[in-house]
Amino acid sequence: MIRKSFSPYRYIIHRNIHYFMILPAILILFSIVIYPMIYSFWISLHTWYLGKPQQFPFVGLSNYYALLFKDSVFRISLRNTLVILSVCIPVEFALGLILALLLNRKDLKGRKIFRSILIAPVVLTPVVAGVLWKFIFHPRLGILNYLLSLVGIRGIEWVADPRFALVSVMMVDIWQWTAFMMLVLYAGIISLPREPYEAAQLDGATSWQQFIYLTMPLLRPIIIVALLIRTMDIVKIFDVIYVLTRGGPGDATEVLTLYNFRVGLNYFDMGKAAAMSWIIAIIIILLAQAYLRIIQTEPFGRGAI
Amino acid sequence: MSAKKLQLIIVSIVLAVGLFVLPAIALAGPQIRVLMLTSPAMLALRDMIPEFEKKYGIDVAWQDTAYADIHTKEMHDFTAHTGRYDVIQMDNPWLPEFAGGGFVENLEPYIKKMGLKLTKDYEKKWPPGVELHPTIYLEDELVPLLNFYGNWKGDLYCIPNMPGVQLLYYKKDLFENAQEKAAFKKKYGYELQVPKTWDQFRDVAEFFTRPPDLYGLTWSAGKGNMAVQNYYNIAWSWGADCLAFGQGFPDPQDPLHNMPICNSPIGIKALEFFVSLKPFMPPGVAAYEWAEITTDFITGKAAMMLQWSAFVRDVEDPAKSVVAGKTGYALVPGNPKAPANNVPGIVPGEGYASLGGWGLVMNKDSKNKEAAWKFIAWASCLAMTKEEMAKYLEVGGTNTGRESGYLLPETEWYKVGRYQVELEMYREHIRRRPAIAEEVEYELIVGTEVQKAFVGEKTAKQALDDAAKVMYELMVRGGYIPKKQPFEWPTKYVNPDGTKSGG
Repeated sequence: MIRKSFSPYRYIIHRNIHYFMILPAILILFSIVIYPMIYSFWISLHTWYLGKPQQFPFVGLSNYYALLFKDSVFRISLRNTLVILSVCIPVEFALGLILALLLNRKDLKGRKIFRSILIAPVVLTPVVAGVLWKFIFHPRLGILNYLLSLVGIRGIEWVADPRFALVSVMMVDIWQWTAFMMLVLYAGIISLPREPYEAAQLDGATSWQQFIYLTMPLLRPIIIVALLIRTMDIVKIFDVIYVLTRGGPGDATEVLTLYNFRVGLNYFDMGKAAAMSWIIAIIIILLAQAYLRIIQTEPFGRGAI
Repeated sequence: MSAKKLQLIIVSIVLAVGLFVLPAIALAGPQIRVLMLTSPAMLALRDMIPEFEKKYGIDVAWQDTAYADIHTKEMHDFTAHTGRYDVIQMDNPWLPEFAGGGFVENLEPYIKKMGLKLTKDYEKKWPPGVELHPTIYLEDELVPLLNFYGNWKGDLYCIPNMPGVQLLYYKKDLFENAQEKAAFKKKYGYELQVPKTWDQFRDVAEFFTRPPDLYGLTWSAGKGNMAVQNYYNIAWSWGADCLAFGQGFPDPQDPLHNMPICNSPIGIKALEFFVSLKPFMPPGVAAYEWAEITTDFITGKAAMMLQWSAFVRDVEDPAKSVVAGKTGYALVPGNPKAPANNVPGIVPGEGYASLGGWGLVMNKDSKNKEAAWKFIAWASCLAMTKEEMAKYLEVGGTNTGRESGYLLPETEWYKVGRYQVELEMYREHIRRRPAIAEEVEYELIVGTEVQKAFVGEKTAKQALDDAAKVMYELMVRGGYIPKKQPFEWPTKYVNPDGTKSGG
């Protein structure tokens, strides 16, 4: 009988076989996610203009410094993104919650029809929504100005007037994504347990009290998820603005991603564009952390994600 | 050998033949790949490809792509040196980037080989007013078009195949109406006519403004491209320009020559004039894209429109347009008060519009250059017979840089009067956007500030001062001005009032 001789290599391979098994996944992840991220950070430390690709001088953090302290368009983009965030999220949430509660009423007839109609905007591609609203906003031919003219308000140049351009963009966003908020909250509401409500009714709680003390706390994890998804979406808002205003008039509707796209793919200033992408990523990570922290302080300790 | 194994071998052989041999046979003849802009004219050209293939025995793999992607796609092919495309369509401001970067082939050897007449004038240099390089002449190609598109340091790199320029469109019935004429004369003291100067233009625009049914003018100050081109279509004829080297090339010797001068007093006055036209335009023009300008005009809501020549297609289409057959075409107005010693080198009183449109270049990495040249010569009408050209125009093609194409009386656009005016614009009245590789960025910088002035967010002076500051940063970043050179007025080349100094 031939005994296999002891091989330390074989032993090591055998002991660590699980690492080898996940190696393909790690390699793929590394090559399509981790390596590009590290490389984009590396680019962000250089000046790299694609028209002269052979020049690649190291400039340290000066791309970041220039963006944060010297670039007025970047600052305006950041401000506009934050304005859209702080207006759209609360409005979409409030309207979405109201619609979800209305849809959940037992005495509502034709619930399925309402639900389908309300969901329609979410299904639209944002570019299509932008083109659609461009017609609606048209100062002379659009329906919005026609309706306003019936109550005596005339001649608002929605997307061509710096006072209204950002408002227009926010209107489109709210129109399109309120239904998404509604959908997520509605799914949450119908999955809530019935028992606490029955107990509350026995104790004589009014429907308002049920909403404040039962629905809202129970719905909390769902609410956080909905807000988080919408926040990330709004930081990434691009298509609607590109179609409606291209960031104009002037810089009135310039936002981070639009400016980032322009610097990277129109101006081919890759170093600056990479730096901007990292700043956007950091903003999203910080916001996400803030939301997750709220979940952890949740009163019943029901962290859902 | 079992029957199953035999079957397997036969199937494998058939598959191998299908996968490798058949395409190899198909590729045996010369084959070229072309990349074009998706546009009605180029789609018409695509439909004519079988005729080219039959005539020359060359297979064409056609690809067209939208404006938003084409520049990126081309640059990727160039920088990676893949030679994926043999012939590429190029927007004319990209010449410094493509030819200067060494990505495209000098076409002169191929032209000579084909026996076409190419001469160079070393006395009368190009461009006029700057006189840097010999002027190139080729067959009956329009000299300004050919040189603006393809003359890089005296050599020819590009042949125009889809040029464009803005024309003044006007509603003929309004200008010929006796009542309107009398009312105009009473109000302004002179005869109503198609405006030749910007002052007349403003009067006519004001006269026909009767909101909400009729406006004097439809145009645009849309962000970037629209605002900057329309503004300079005024500003050049006032004698203003954006950079001190005018329509020449950046000066490698003297960085002062590359300084921005867009905030000169003449430039500011021209912008104030542009903004003063706003009350005569329909609401919303500040955010219009090109197509929206046309919508106003073809629905009969505007007496005049300044618009690219390619939109005649929509204006003369009775299915879309209420002004089809009732539209006249004229040159862009000028300003007789412009100083004679101006930077852009224009003739006072003449109108100017920015040169648009596309030409054909050959990829330096192409593996089939002879065939690629044959395609360029054919698709730019250079090697087309008159009959072929007439047919190409009939199926929806566009006129190229060939002068004779504009003088075919049987063509539809000649009959409506477009070609004669367009030809006149190309001969004497076109200007080039700044010849820097960062041209796209220039459009957004100046175009955004012009738009701000147009919507009243800034005064004309503030807007152009800010534009000049950012343009200076751009020129530094592009390496045209060294970092240590501060932003200053280039008095050596341009007087403080914006006129040209001795140099």
